[in-house]
Amino acid sequence: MLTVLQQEVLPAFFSADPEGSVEVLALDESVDRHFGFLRGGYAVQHYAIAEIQQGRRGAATLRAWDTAVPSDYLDVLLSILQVATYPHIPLFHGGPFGLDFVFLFSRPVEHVPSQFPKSWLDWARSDADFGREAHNLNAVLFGDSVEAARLERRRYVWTAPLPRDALSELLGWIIDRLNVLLLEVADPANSETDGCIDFTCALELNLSLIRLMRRVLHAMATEEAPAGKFLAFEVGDIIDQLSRQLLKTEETAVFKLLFNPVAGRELIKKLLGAVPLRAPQIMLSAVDAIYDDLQAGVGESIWVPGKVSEAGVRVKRSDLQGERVEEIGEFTGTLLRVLRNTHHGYFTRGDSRARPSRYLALTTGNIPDSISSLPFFWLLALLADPAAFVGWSPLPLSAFD
Amino acid sequence: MTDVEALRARGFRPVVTGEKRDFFASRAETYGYEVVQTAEKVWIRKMFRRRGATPPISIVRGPRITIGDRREGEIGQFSERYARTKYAEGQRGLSQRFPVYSLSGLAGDSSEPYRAFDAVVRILSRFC
Repeated sequence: MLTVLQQEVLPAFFSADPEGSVEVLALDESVDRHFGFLRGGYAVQHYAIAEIQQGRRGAATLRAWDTAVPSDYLDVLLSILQVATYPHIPLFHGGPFGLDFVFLFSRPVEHVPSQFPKSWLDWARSDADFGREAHNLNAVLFGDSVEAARLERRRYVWTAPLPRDALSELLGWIIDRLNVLLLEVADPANSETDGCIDFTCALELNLSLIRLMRRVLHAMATEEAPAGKFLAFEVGDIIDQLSRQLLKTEETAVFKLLFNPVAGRELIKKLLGAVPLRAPQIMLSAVDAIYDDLQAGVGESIWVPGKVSEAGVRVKRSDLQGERVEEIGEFTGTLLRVLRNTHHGYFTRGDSRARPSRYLALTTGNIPDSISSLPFFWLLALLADPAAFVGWSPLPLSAFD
Repeated sequence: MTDVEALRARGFRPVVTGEKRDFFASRAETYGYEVVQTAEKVWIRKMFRRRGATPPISIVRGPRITIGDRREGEIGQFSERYARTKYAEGQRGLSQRFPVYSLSGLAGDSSEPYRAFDAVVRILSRFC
């Protein structure tokens, strides 16, 4: 490996980017091994040890669905960092199992969307789309470059990459936070039910966290705009569920909060603002821009005259007779929840409070594509302060007699 | 303070009662836990919860390489340490099983998971 690295990989990289640098990250296999205890404990909680041994496949529960081991977390987080300041790509990473080389470019390269169609499937898939943000095609045709960029990129577009030292600092912080998170996820003693360690819950927490990270990455990396939006809903669902399990919040309360451009923005900015690094501080303006975009987009999407005022949005009551005014932040959170719920159909008559149609009837459904970039900031908030964000407070380190 | 409260205050948490108790007790020790058995339950606590203990580091940061500072000595040591891990063992096995793979520009053309994995295999077999 060393020979190939020194004779081929590094010369090729430095020839292309003499001012670039390479960081090397190695996983500790002992921590990796402890994740096996989670999966084993989960299986043992459900089946007799003799049955498991008879199967001769170890504790294979969901192993092929998601391995959810430290190398997965590391690779996903590095890939998230790779696309975090889209379209500026500041790094590439790869390497053999358990060893990652992070190639940091001196000048980030810019991702350029490929020509449509990329393939036969791309052509067919275009007919499956809905929920795309509408754009002013006339403006694009007449040379509006901002609208053209929104149409082409269909996500939040960073005007500049992070400064190199701020990115490097952020990478270090993410590794440090991941180090702590992995230790704690691997310890089932952090998951108790009725006064006993709950191995089922411990593995479920692990699977939920890695799924959350994978879906954040998918939302940021997909080239299908509506998919990014739906993935943001899925990430919101997972965070909502984490908070329900750990903080005992009400179902959907946190989902709505995450998409609330007033209270949700305030929470995320508070958590990111407490991280003493330059990158999160720079990112606060992006958080503002995306929530501004969401609030403005939802406001403009309300087509029924006279329903929007300074006080908020007038929404029909559940009997469809009177109306109540909802503050725009609260309205937005609920509207996005209702849009999310359409994934299992649109039927209002099954809901005793007629929630779907009361909200959907008001809107054109033109929701900004940039919301697919929100999950990245939610993930940073989770890494920064999981206790404040979802109520996850593992046992303290090096603290007991 | 009862025995149970004392154990909790020291960071121990109980596993299960019943027939699987001994199984968990024996496994926990091999996964870095201190184990205390009471009449009814098995209590476990990660070694690194103890005051003064140093928690393991999951991801070790190696040297930073630049064109002017290849850090060959440190990279050499890092590689030697890596070569002794089960990761390296698995990697060698993969390279032997798929010797036909080589770096390919085509592999980077898709984000679909199976293609991405295929790309990783190609890169890794060249890399090691």
